[in-house]
Amino acid sequence: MIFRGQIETWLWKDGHRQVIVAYLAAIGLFVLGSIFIRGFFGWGHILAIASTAGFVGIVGIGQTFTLITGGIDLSVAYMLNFGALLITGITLGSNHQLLLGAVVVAVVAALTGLVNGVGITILKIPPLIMTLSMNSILEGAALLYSNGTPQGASPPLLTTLATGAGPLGIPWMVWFWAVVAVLVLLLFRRTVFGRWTYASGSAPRASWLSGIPVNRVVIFVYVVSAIAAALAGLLLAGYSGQAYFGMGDSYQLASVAVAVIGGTSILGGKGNYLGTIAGALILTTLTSLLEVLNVGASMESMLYGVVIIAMMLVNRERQSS
Amino acid sequence: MRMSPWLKNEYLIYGILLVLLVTYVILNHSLLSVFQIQSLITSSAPYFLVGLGESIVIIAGGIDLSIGYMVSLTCVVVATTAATVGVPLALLVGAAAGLINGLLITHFRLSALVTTLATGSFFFGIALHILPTPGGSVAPWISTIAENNLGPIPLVAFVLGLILVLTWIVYYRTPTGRYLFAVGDNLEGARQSGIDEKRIRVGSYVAAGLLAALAGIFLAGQTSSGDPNIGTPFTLNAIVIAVLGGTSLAGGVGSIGGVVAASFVLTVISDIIFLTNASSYLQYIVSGGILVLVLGLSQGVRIVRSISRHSEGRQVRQG
Amino acid sequence: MNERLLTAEHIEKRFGATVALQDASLEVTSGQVHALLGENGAGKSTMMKILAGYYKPDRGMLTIDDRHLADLSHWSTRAATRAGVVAVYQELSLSSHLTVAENLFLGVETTTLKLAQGLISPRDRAKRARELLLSCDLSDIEPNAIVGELSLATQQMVEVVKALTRHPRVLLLDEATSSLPEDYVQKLFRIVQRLKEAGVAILFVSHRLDEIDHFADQATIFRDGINVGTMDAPFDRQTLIDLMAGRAVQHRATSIAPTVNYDSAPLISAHKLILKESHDPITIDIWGGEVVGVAGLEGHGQQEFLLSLFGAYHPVGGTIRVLGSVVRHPEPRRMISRGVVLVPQNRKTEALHLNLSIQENVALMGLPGMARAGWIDSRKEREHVTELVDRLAVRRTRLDDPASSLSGGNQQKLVFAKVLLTKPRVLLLVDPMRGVDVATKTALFDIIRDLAKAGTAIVLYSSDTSELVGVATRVLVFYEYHVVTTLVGSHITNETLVDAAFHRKEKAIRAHVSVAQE
Repeated sequence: MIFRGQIETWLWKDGHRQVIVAYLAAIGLFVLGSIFIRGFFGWGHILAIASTAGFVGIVGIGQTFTLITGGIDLSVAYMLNFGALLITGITLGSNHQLLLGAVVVAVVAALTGLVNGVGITILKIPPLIMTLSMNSILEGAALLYSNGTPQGASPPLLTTLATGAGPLGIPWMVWFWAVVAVLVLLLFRRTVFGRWTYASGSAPRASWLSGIPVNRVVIFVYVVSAIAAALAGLLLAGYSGQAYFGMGDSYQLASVAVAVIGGTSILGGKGNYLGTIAGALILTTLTSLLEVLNVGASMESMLYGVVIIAMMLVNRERQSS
Repeated sequence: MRMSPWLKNEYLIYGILLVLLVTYVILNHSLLSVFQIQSLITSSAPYFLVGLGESIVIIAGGIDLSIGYMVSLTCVVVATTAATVGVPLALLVGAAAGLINGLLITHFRLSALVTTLATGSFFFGIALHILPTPGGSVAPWISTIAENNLGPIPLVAFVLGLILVLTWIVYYRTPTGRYLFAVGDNLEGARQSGIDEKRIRVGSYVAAGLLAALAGIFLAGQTSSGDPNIGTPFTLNAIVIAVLGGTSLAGGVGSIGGVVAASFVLTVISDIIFLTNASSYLQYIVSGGILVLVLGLSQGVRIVRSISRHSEGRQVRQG
Repeated sequence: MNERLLTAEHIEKRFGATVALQDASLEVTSGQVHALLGENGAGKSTMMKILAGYYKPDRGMLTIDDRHLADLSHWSTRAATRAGVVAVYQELSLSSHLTVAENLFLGVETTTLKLAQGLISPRDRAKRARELLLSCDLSDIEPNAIVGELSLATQQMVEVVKALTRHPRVLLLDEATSSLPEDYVQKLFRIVQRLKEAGVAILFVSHRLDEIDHFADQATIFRDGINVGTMDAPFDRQTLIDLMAGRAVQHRATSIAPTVNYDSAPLISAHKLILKESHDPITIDIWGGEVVGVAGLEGHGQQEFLLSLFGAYHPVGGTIRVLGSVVRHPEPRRMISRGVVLVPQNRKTEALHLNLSIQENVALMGLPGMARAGWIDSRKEREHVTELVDRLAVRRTRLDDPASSLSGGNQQKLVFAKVLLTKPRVLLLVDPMRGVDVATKTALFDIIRDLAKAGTAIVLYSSDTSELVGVATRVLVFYEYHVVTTLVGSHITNETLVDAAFHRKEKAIRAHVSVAQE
């Protein structure tokens, strides 16, 4: 009975309904695809979608929480790309240097996030300009690092992680994403820091007056975002077996899209990573529908735009009513 | 034109431009040749066009992250349509794209940032759909305007000059121009003064769309082809030029001269990078770094000043 | 000759649970200067903003020139301007980066400054601006000056002249003189005089009683959102003050039994606190068990004083001590960890996170105390929150509902619960009863008394001075960013407070009060 009460409470909580709707939409889309497209339905395809959704889902960690603080991170595209270039360049396709490579990538990402965060909080540079500029700086840094030609290849371990099948026949990628997701949910739902993140985005002045170190919270969120993007870069390098320029471009907008679809408010203070996961599943299902219809990258790009605008319009109606 | 606080910002960009030009001349070991000046103007032209468009939007209190993709879209439109309709159609497409942005932002009250990010993706998708890889063909007269000179003066300079004069007249001699500044400066005050603020804000996005279309047409002419990826770097550069040129992100402040100077600055920097045989990849770092550096330094100076003023005040009072 | 220009009848306006105006009526006549008086929060500004079209009233009727406007759903600033009702706001409506001339004619260029091609002639515009300024005896204002570079007082005058370019028939001046030096006040009233002779009706709000004596032909007094009297000049000051203050003192005069132990160290002290450049310093010690009231007209430094004690406002100079030791670089976080908490004025933007849940709001300030190594102890959190929410009798359905789902009064209880969770030594309250219903008010006052009895030091600023009567053990009265008067014990009455706030330096009152800071 207590358990049932808790579920009811959870369902009642503001924002959770939106998350549930997002999951229903993901299922609905899949069913729709299964009805109209031959061969769409199947356990294998479900796993494939979940696995592919993991990449944008992990980039979406950063976007969800920077949006919750009232900002945005537009440097994820080249953070991801730089991370991928670094790991293939350092490891040169062998597992031996993987740990070193991962540490280097983590340090570079943390520093990038730190610079973003300090620029935004202390130097008061608007998040948009700070992170968009950082994206260009990272692009330059990535080009300089690789001298325009990506070197090396992904270590086999990463390739296995990104493409291999794990226990119960479920891809390692899905297991990995699930673990990351649980950690993220715990961090933002169960810790003081997580509570402070929501508070800082919801009402910055009230947060400061409540004794929250708002600047530090925001800086840390940008560090998390950069690390998440770089992590997605490692996985994507593993998936492709190598790194190439432009591999992060489509994740810029896709990461915003999955957060917004999952109910994260672009005005800050509202959002939930559970929703972003649903958003990633929806976007990936839509993309795979388009792939079957063979419409190509152009439609994907248009789709991202339309989906974001549509979600903002829907949420706007909800707010005004 | 007159003394005002933002003129100081403008002086900064003029100073930067001067220093860069001197550097360029020194590295070049001779004064600028006519050809170099011509190429400076032609390479700055698209930067100037998108920078001006972005500046107009920011003056009115908005932001446009779709401007680069509007350049791509219109470039592709010119390269894939018949010679006679290409230019007017591209302008129409640019205006329509700006109108979509403006209506979504003002009438549906959506965030300008995320809306233009999303519409940008949409415009890019259309561009890719029309022309997946660089190609197409462009009417010869467009290439002529984009590349040829009349005597020593590039033809495109006349177009830019005309736009400069028109913008100046609108800014400083028409009520609409004054409303543009008033709306970005104090939205509520402008509304109280009886200004139709929505019309002005939508208009600013349409103007940005038209200027992006001109840049797209120019680039198509310059390369004699269409390229769906050509506009990608222009979004950041447009913002960099607008803000370096003295446009305040808070709205209500901006100048034409600053935008001109800032677009030259970006071109001269890439010329210097070329001259010194430095890696061309530095261009990306400069594009990204310059604005952050300028904004960061100005805030840093402000922080230092306020700290020193504060502690001074304390000492005096306590002493 | 003087006909009725504008009549407002039965105007009602609510902001959430707060009733700003209830059944308020007003009538202005052409060629008359009409003063609107009342204490802070009496509804004067709301009335002005409704007349100007800035707010739509919830109920009521406006009549302009015999034209009845019963349906006010399309009432807007534009509609008001068209009808000849033009306001000069206290908050500036100017565009600070445009010139004086540009601002003066903003929005009315096309009809007044049109060349054949529809272009503006800046020279012509400047000339017209100069003529207009000259006619207002303001030739020292340069039409081509950038507005943002002018002093606030000059900007305020530009605001007045801007209203004239809209050809007002009814001119609304909402505390237009509050930031003006004496010579500008004289110039303003000469403008007013000229308009009056031209048949314009002027309605103005002012806190300076001598201005009202000099310039007003009629005065209407508002109290608690209703018109409590209209009279013609000459006015009797005492009657005005009595009407403004004179509510039946509905106070539960359960004065606090003084449990203050002055031998112990003061809980919080301010030493030579200078709130604004070239204003007098404030030095004060506050002991546990005291309820120190802070009063005065709005905007005379009361809020800055409380925020300074909390480290949320940087004074020009001075130090803050908690329990005798100096707090370096005071900041809310440092003050909270020393047991000093603040209930800010603006519930919606400063005190609460409306889209966070009730529980998250209440727990926010005391969160570090309910966590181990950064992990929130959920059970502890729930217990603490439930206990406080019950103690304050917050009416709610679930602790997981967003704070925005509560009524204004319950939201304010939530704010109290939030600060009390930290078990504060010093409680700073910035106008905590604004917009709160009577029942909640009583409950909150009971809590304040209980806390004081238990040894908490309380500093209470209220814009409604009558709230301080019967609660405060002493009251600091602010005027121009320093304490002009300190009232103690039985000398704290509605009359002495209103008088002191208006800074009347008459002996009769002086006799009752002890001047602050010997």
